[in-house]
Amino acid sequence: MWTDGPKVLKACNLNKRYQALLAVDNVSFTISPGEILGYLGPNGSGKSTTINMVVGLLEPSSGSLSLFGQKLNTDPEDYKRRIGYVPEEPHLYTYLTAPEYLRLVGRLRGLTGWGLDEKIERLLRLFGLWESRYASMSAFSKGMRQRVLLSAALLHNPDLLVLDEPFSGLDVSAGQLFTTLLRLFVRDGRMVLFSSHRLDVVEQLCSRVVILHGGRVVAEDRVDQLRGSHAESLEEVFARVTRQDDYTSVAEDILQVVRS
Amino acid sequence: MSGDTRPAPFSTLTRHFFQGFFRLTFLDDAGEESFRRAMIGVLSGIVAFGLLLLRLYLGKYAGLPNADVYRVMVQADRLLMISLPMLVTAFAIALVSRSLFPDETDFRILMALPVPRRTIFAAKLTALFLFAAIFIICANVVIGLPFALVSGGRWAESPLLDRALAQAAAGTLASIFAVAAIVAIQGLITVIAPQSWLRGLSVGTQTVMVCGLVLSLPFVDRIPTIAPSLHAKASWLYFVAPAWFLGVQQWLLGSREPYFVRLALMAIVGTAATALIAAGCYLALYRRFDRVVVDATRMGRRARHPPLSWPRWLPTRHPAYEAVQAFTGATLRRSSLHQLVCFGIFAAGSALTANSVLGNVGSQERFLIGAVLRAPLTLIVATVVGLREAMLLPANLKAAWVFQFTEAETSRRHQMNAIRDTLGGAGVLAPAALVFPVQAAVLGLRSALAGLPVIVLLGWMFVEVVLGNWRRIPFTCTVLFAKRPAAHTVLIAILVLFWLVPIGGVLEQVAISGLRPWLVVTAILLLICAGLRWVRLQSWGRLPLEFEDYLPDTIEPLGLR
Repeated sequence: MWTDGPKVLKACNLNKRYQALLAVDNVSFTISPGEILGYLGPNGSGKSTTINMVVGLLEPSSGSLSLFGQKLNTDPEDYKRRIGYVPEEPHLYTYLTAPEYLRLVGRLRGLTGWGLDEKIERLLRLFGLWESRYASMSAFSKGMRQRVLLSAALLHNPDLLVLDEPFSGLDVSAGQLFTTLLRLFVRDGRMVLFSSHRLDVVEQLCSRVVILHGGRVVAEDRVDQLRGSHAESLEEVFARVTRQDDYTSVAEDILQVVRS
Repeated sequence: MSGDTRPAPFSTLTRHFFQGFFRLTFLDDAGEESFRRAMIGVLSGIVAFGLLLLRLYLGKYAGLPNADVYRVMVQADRLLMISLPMLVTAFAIALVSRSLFPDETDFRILMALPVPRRTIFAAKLTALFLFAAIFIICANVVIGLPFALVSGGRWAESPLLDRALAQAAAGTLASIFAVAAIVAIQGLITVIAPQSWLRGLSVGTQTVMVCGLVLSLPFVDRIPTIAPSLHAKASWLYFVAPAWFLGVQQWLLGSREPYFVRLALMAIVGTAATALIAAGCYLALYRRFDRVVVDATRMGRRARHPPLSWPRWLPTRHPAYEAVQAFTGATLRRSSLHQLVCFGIFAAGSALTANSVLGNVGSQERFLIGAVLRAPLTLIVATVVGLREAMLLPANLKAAWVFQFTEAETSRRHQMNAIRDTLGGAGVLAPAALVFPVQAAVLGLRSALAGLPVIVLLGWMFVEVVLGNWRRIPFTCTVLFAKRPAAHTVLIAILVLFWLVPIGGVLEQVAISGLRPWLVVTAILLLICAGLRWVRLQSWGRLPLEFEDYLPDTIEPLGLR
């Protein structure tokens, strides 16, 4: 177990190449204890590719990843054991019920026995899924599936939570529950890597953000620093650094096509 | 709103539904491509077999001694040639039987578009008609017409054209009856069954139909042997649907015998009735399309039994073992595709077993004993292969990330052990237990009990061989078909069924002949099993799991000089 060393996730010069396409180009960032790092970027900017590398599902073409001072490639199992992950799309075995899925994930994580069942029951009750415990997840809404995935990610008490669009499909109250939960989660020095298109949520939740564009980091700083002296909103900063500010002309072009 | 709104494109929808019958959504692109290659291989095999059959029949009809023998034989063979296209068509429709009516996706997507409901239903019906027509025409052209050609000989009573037309008409009507019957059964379930049972009943019926059709193969194979019953105009044939259409054929060829006229009437009434029921179901569903939307799983809060927990007094198992075992069990219980593959191959094994045992009832006792001794081994081979093939098919490739994410060298071996135990339990112990009463009845309880360890050891051997290079969590890896030539696969199947199984039967026979032979046979088998286990354990769980199937990258030379 990694008990010594700095409590930090460090991504150093990550690259991912798919034949001619360089999906992630020299990306570096760190997450400090107690920090929620916002990871932003337009579609196709390399966000999910980076996240897949961070959680160990994708091997970087070059660069390194370390958690608590230990590199991913030296002991990938122990590295993954400390991470909880909610993927962008709620890919689940939908013919299973929520308790069955959580039991599967818990056992794959090495948890077992009555403790696991009790934990699953309590999590399902708290996430408002207990009433649907007998229904297979094919009948679940996207928000319900997100709640199952978050329960699965938290089941083994991870040190780092990696969340890829965790708010998609959630209603207002569930969204507020998630926000509060994440704030409390990092209080005792744990970390969250939070990728989202919901800039309002990122703004109120994250202390620091990394913005990606075309596979490269185009901005990385504290939210208040990025907003600068002009007190721009994060949305405006995002549009500026990713050069996506000409929405009006694009919208007009779209309408022109529709009307033609 | 501007722009013109044209009528719903019927042809586009028909094409969409038609292509849907051939779509395998559980495969990735490479898997679909390899499946197409495999199907081409299978079809080539069938054509080659058909040519061989043609040659056999040509010889048979050329050498008949007189018209009476011809008359007796030709009727039974005509019945066979009606049954085969019927079986092929029924099998194809049974495989897509859960897509015979517009479904929930169609409702949600198409009803939101300006497409009239009648267009959706008409397009689906047309697509189904086209899909069925392909199989009806191909099966009758490939099987029926060549038979009309070769069944002439010198004793033929009607000209070739009449024979060909009568064969085509009877075979086509029989195939239409099969299609209408399956549509009617699925339609009745969709319309009448309580909504909370709908999905389960639909999946169960499909599995039963496919297994029933596979199980009917030995009986179809034996049709030529019922020639005397046909000649004697046996009344039990009134209950055999394909025989009705022989009546149609005989009537078309000019026979006005009351027996055949009655059979022909039954064929026409039966086909009309099933077609009417199928049409009625379409109509009922057309009026209540929302019914298909209600997913049974959404209906209820029905209390499922809590999962059976491992007894506390037994040593605890590794959580990774429990995870894979529970996941495998749940997938096999709930996925219709995996059930279909598993039970389909199991049914094929059962058909072979039944064929072998029933074929020896009434013959010399030693033949019957030999068939009964081989029965559990055939069933074990079929069940293990069925389970293995089902485990190779992915359930939801995108959801497999959870296994990739949690893969660990320390738990891999336990995960693999869960697969071994599943194959051992469901693939070896269950079939052995299933056939045990038959063995006890024929061989006697003592001999059956003595043979049981030998059967289990032979089954264990087979499982060890099957799992030799296994590196997958079931249902989580992409799959490529036809990785080896079809002839290679056929050769392996022949070796197993006609070499391994008979040798196993002989070993069992030797073992039950006395205590000393029993000890020798079980000791030898134990040693072989232990050796195979040792070989397996050299790599078992040490290499990373596979989540992507791949083609062999080396070409194995034949070594011919």
